[in-house]
Amino acid sequence: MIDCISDFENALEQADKGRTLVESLNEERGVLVLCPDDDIICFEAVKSHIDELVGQFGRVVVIIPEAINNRFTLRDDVRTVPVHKKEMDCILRYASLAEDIDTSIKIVSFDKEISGRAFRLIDCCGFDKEQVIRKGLLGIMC
Amino acid sequence: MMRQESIWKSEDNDFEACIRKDVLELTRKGVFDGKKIALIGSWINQEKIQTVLGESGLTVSYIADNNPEKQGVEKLGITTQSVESLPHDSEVIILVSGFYSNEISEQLEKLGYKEKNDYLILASGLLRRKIRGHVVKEETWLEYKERAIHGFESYCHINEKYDGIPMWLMHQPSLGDLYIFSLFLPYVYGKKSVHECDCVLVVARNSTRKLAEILGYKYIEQIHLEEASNDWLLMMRLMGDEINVKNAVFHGLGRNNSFLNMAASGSLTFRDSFVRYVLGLEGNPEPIYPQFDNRGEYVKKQFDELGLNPGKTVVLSPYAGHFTPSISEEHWKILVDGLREKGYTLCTNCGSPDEKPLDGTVAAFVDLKDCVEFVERAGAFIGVRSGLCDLICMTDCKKTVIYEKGATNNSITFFGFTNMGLGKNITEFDNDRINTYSIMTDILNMY
Repeated sequence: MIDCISDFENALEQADKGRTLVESLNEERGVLVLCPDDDIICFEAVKSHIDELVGQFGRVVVIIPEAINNRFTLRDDVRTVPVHKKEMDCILRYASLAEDIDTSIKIVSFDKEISGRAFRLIDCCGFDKEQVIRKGLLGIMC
Repeated sequence: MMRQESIWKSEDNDFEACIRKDVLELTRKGVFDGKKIALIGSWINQEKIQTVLGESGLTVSYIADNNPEKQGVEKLGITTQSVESLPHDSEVIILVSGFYSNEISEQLEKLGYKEKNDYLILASGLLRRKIRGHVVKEETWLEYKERAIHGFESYCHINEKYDGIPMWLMHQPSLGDLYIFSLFLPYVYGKKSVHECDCVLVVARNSTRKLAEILGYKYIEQIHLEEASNDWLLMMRLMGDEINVKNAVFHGLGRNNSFLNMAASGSLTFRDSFVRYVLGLEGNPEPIYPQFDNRGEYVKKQFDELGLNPGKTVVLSPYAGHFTPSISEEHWKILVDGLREKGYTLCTNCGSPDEKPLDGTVAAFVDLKDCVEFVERAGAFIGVRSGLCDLICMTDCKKTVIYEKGATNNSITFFGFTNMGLGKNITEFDNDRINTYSIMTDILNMY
């Protein structure tokens, strides 16, 4: 549990670094999808909705952990950016804080520490992960 | 009786401001000179568009819609029609707005209309922003961080004061949210009443603080609404589950609201948002209804002063804090005249001097703690869905609640008492905003 201002400031510094990383991709993306977990279901779900994402938001850039980079490939017009866990943490801090002013960032995660909202949808509301990713996290309504 | 300024209205205000800006600009350019105006789209917001046009001395001549149910009905004093049947000539300029603007634009192009010459899309900037989002500017980012820091400092102050007792942030200023949240909160702590729960409730309005006191919360802290909805929520988004405060409602932690997205496509209800999502409870716990204090003599005196007959009074509630109902004074007049003929005395639930009593009724300014007793003494309640409906849902009297199809935050699926399995003696109507007169007649026939 964080309870002192220095811990909080560290979190803000992380968010700053995350913003710099996200900014570096601004020119080439319509939507930025973060798949921070080592969870293949997340990656597969994003993969299966690429067409809808491109249709709704333009060019898709997907950020994934280095650990799963070699295990999956997306189609040619989608850029995959593998990042180290520390960088991913920074991007997530930024994305969580800036979510409503930069709505072109989608976080696809079930990690309770990061997105308890998604976690609870599965835990308590009876949806499966694929449904939550499609409608809840990516906001694909059609 | 109970009205709060609502953050829910901000999107409506965005829309109205955007429409106003466009209309002023187009008027200045003389686009409407010598033209008759036709509206397509934004069925729900057409009254607002008419008002904005009126400010520039303009009137609406035609309203068209692609939904057959919305053709051939009265709207703004005009008989609506299909898009195809609009007169296609140089004297008519079509104003398109709303969520389906792009689709309507494509349809008009196929019908031979040309954008800018024959039709214009209003508030298109708003649509683009919502769909595409935008990258955060440096000054905005700095402001966000500042706000998060303020939120954290305020949080630390309260956290220290209560020595780490878990906190709940009720940033939503509406009473209904706090009421439903409180029906199930005791389960989180294995208790039988709100009063036994060792938690701090952080509220953002006097009205919610007052309700929290009535409901029996032991520890209540009040912060400013802006502080809650800006600073605290930003701080919570940044820190996630790493801090000692949780969001007491399902929204507020970002616009990419996963719960709302799921609710829109499923059968989730307002109750679910608290039971399953906010509180994370399993199964289907029974609500623990609160007891309101009895102030019989006070309410009796109020009835006497207002000239209301106990057991033969209808409390009419045409206002809501979280949305602007489309039911007009003329619609309510059907009920007012009819109920008076049937021998009822009538009062209008007024939360502030801005909320005027309906013609033929007296204004009732009722204290929160008396709302249950007031309605029970009256004998009947008819109102649009608002937080007050939650508070009186278990009263021993006849209650009629009206929802509005398509209105933001007024869906019968999500907020309906039958769907939520809450309350008793409640009859519900879903107003499609087309057949409002017949709904009012149906309600009248129940009395």
